[in-house]
Amino acid sequence: MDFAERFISIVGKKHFSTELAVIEAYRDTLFPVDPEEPFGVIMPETTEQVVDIVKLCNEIEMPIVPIAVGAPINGMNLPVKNGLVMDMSRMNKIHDIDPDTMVAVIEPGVTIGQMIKALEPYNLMTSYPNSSPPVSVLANIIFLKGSGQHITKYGTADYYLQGVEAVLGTGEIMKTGSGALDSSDWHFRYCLGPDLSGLFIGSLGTMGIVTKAAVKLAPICPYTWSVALGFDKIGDAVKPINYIGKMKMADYINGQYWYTGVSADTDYPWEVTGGKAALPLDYMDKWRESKGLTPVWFHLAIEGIDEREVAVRRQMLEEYIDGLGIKRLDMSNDSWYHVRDTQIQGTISSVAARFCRHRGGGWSSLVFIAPVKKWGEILDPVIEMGRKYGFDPTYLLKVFGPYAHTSQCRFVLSYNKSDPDERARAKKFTQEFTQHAVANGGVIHRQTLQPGVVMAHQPEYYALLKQLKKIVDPKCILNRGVLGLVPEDQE
Amino acid sequence: MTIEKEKVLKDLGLCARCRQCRMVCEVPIATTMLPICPSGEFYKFDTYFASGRVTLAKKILLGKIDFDESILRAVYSCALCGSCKQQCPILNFDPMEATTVMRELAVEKGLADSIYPMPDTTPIECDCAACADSDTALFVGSQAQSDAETVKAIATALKKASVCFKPFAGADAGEYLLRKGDIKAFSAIKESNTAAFKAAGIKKLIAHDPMTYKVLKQDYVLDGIEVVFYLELLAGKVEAKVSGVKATYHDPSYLGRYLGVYDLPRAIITALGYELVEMVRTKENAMSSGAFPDYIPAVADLASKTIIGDAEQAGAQVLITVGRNAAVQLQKAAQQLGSAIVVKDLATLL
Ligand SMILES: Cc1cc2nc3c(=O)[nH]c(=O)nc-3n(C[C@H](O)[C@H](O)[C@H](O)COP(=O)(O)OP(=O)(O)OC[C@H]3O[C@@H](n4cnc5c(N)ncnc54)[C@H](O)[C@@H]3O)c2cc1C
Ligand code: SF4
Ligand code: SF4
Repeated sequence: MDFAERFISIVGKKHFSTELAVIEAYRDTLFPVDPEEPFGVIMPETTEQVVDIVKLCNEIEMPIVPIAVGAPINGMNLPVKNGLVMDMSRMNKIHDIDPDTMVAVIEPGVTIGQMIKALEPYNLMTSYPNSSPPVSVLANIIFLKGSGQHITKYGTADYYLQGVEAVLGTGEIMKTGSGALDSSDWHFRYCLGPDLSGLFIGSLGTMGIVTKAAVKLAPICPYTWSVALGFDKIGDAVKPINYIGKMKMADYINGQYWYTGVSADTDYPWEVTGGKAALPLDYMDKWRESKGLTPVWFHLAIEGIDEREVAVRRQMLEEYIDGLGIKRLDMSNDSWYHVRDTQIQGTISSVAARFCRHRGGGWSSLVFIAPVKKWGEILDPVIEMGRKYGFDPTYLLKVFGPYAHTSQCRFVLSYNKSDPDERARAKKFTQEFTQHAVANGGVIHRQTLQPGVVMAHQPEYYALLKQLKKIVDPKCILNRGVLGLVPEDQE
Repeated sequence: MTIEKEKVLKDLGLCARCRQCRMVCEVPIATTMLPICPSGEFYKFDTYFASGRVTLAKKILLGKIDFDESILRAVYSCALCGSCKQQCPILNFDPMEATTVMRELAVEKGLADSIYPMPDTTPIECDCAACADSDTALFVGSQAQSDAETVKAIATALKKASVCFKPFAGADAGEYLLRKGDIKAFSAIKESNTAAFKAAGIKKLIAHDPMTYKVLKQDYVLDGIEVVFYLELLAGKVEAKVSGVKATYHDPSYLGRYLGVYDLPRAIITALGYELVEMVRTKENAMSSGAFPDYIPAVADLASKTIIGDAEQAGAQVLITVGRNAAVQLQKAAQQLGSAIVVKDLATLL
């Protein structure tokens, strides 16, 4: 029996393919690289099938790249030469929803939309990114340390993780959290000793294939109040925003250039880009000036189980804002702003969909994590750097909770993928961005293709990661294209 | 070669690979996450969703890959139902361009015949003239769209509504040549039909099938000839025939998503006395039944069964649609599922 026949014997003929049309469809990304040619694509439906596939790949030393739905932005699931793409979208069962322990057990193919619908009767939610409805809830919570609506309230999406069931690179099944005990379910993230669930967080599929996970649920708070604050420059926002975050005066703090506003404006005249991929900053400047808006704005929102909770915190926040004389922006006539307003309640936003309105098919979200106090020194040079390479990167700033310990600085880089020059510049910009962020103490988030830059700053840390990888995946078959964890003798 | 490669590549480059073309993603029903792409739902691999086809089309146009049997299957398993375009968040972008451009290329390379089952376009025989010297004509069309019985029912309804028309018989509008991607052959039919319309002094053309209506209206250039759908001429002229029967309406892609005709059939169904209930996937977000004679039966069966499920969930006793093909396909699905739902082509209820 050849390899293909053996894969077919596991999942059936319909769910394994080495056909050109299948291979080539999975060999695409918005990232400025050309993905390698995989051997085939497989779509398992059960944990048992995943075990059999991993065991077989282990035996024949065939690399595996798991993809949940496959809407990544930063090249985190690129096929590997002669490897197997494991499309997890058929593993989309919701095993359990327990409104008492506030935990749901779901498979990796469960999508945001599916989850919102399933939790609707309970008035509960879990972490959802401001992403498109068909993407995987678990991919965002576990592998991507995602930034959902509650990033300011609870921190990154992995706050919601209660435990996983994963198939290691050897084919063994591992369970973490209280659910690891036969006698228990997933009511607690931890079990004996260290937090092994953490091994999978941010792992991008390198430590094991997650086949099931327990996620925390949170109540949907129906009462909200929000305010838009305007600043002339980022530096002016640092102190007040840091204070608001650390005093927990707001549940959602999101700062940005006018990217979302402009791209959600349905009258946006695409001609102004002059055929360029990105939304030019000077156009955005004109757009906001015509509306009397400040260069920098922050969207702050408070949510509550009832009106009283919102009212008390609103009073505190307003007293602080007005006491400092911070400008409030009136956006009552901007419909996109109201749509954005509802995101905090865990609804899918049509504005989120418009993030991907761009020209040229190249889109990269460059993200680093740094404390709010560092914004001034890190952000401005990136804008300058972007201009040097001919891009107008636009930023989004998200304050991470629960007490504004740090923040996410995200640059959205749109470029024309079919233009080789623009592609090369995008790649260079990405490299320089990474070096700049790391040199300034930022942690690179989801930046998968240049682990070397990070490694240079943290050699011991990397050595340890590699050792861990060797334990759970001795032949290094799991997503070897990312994080640079491949041992030198296996490269 | 009719394909403007640079322009098409630029268009296809707009795809953000967000996968919204897989599901009903429109707020607020996005939360139902209901599948919407017949071929993707059947085959499951990304290849068979719009996003996969966009990738393949880009690679073919760039010369990175060439057609083989698997690519032809991916290309011709698209129902061209328009659901992906409806869900796609990118402004001014039609993901179906990937399918149409690859079909044109496949025809050009002489590869389409091996995979595309050209339907029977023998003209329907019709003895249905209402008034011989009218400048209004009923475009009778071919077996691929309908049959003599349905056309007769439509003609009778038009006569009853005092519409004066003569039949324009013996021709097919070239609908399936267009779907195949044979632009040259389609253009030839279009030209000869247009000349024949002119020679017959036609000022108004009545289409009775959704696909024909779309093609005559959008793909023909008929200066001085108005194209109407037969239901438009019946609006306000239908009498109630039933009462207390719950009916739901399945929007055919060509009448709904392509031409935006949603309210007219519903108004007629209500005028007939039915109590109208809506399926969860409806109007712009309707699932295609895949009921095209050039389409893959197994995929059409899966899609149609989904519609029957939605109709049952809506509490309908009767599922009404427009067009013989859709009615036959949905009836088959209801039978296969053992559903008590009765499927009807609106034409047969008039
Ligand atoms: C329009 C848009 C807006 C977005 N906005 C946000 C935002 O606001 N906040 C945010 O956080 N993100 C955002 N994203 C990113 C988005 O959340 C991620 O793209 C998404 O969560 C990834 O889901 P996916 O199903 O495509 O996962 P994939 O890309 O398929 O997988 C992600 C990673 O997990 C690995 N993986 C997948 N399945 C498994 C498994 N079972 N076991 C082990 N490893 C696995 C993959 O190898 C890959 O490395 C946005 C994306 C889009 C398209
Ligand atoms: S075709 Fe549209 S909806 Fe589908 S992946 Fe591309 S951009 Fe998203
Ligand atoms: S036209 Fe229909 S079948 Fe074709 S890709 Fe779009 S949704 Fe799928």
